[in-house]
Amino acid sequence: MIPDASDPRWKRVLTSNSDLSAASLATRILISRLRREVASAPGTLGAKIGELRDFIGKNSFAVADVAKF
Amino acid sequence: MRNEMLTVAEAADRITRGDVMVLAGDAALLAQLPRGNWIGGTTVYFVTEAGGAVVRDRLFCTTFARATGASPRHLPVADLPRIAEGYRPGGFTMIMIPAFSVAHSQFAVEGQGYPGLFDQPLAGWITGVHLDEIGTRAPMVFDGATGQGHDEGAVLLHVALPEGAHVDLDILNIFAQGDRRDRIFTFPEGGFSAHRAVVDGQEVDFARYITEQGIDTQLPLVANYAGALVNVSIQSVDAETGEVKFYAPVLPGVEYRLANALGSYAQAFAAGAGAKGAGQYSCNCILNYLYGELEGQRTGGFTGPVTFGEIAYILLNQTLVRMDITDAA
Repeated sequence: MIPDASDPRWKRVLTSNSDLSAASLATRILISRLRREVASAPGTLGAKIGELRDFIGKNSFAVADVAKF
Repeated sequence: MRNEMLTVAEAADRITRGDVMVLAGDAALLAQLPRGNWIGGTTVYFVTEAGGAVVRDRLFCTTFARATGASPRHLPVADLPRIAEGYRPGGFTMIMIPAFSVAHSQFAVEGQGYPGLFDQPLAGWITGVHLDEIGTRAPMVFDGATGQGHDEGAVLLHVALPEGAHVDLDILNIFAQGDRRDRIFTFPEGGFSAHRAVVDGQEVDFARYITEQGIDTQLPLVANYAGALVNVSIQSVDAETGEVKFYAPVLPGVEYRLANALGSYAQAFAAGAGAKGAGQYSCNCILNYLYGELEGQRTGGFTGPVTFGEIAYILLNQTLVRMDITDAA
């Protein structure tokens, strides 16, 4: 089950520098890019959360990564 | 998954019977292959079961025995953002791009933002030539759908898998970030080259800084992507023009740390690989091959082409990319 977009984990993972070494490679690379984009344009946070949720939804291996956010 | 060094005739037989394959070797060999479910790229450097070697008379072939179908295709530069349009649901995609091409630099800079790129595992490499032939022969990619070679664009093999198959794509980076404050860099502008860098809060002439500090340019700059260590290798330092060139682009807003020095590359790979490697797809960087003097040396159980850049979703340097296909737990 993928958390709703209002779940605080999405904002937390995209606005922190937390280490996600245990997450899949794709998740780490994508979140790194989304973090840079949110840092340079905070108003895009909602759209970036949507992009991250879409990615999780399309990659079953990444669903387990949400627990690490 | 099966990795083998095959003759042209042996590889052609496999293709003709319908095997789904990625191949690496000399352009003259790849050009002889029949149409089929394959893509290929040029290199003459390999890590074989006997160790690193230059091989010109055989092809390194990886066969995806679990594949239930595959779609090879060539994409011109303008269509690179459409990579994900060919993804087969539940599968994975292999990609090869010629070194020094427009596609190489465009994918490196813009690839992370292509629509849907991360929607399934994307692995591959940047094709090359013998180092003595740089500038006289172009690195090539080959599209099994047509059998044609290209020195521009990208070739893709979109592979379908049976339900329950699991693809594990990851990297083995033998370098760690150093922690000296005077070896931590950020860049005001991104790209394949830089004149200026910020070190410990001060903007410096980067080429002069590298020269004056005696920095070992065989060591990569290492960024931490949320726990994934991603290298950018230094290609050249021109103290006169002040330009430092890289083999992958640096990004503004990303902190890069010079890697710690290594002892033996071969031992580092063996330690990082453990018992893994056999039966997996892998490719490794020409810089590791050269700087680590890997000719005749093994890299754990990993075998595969030695490349001018590695791809695991994004362009990587001085890194081993590995991919395994298993049944879901």
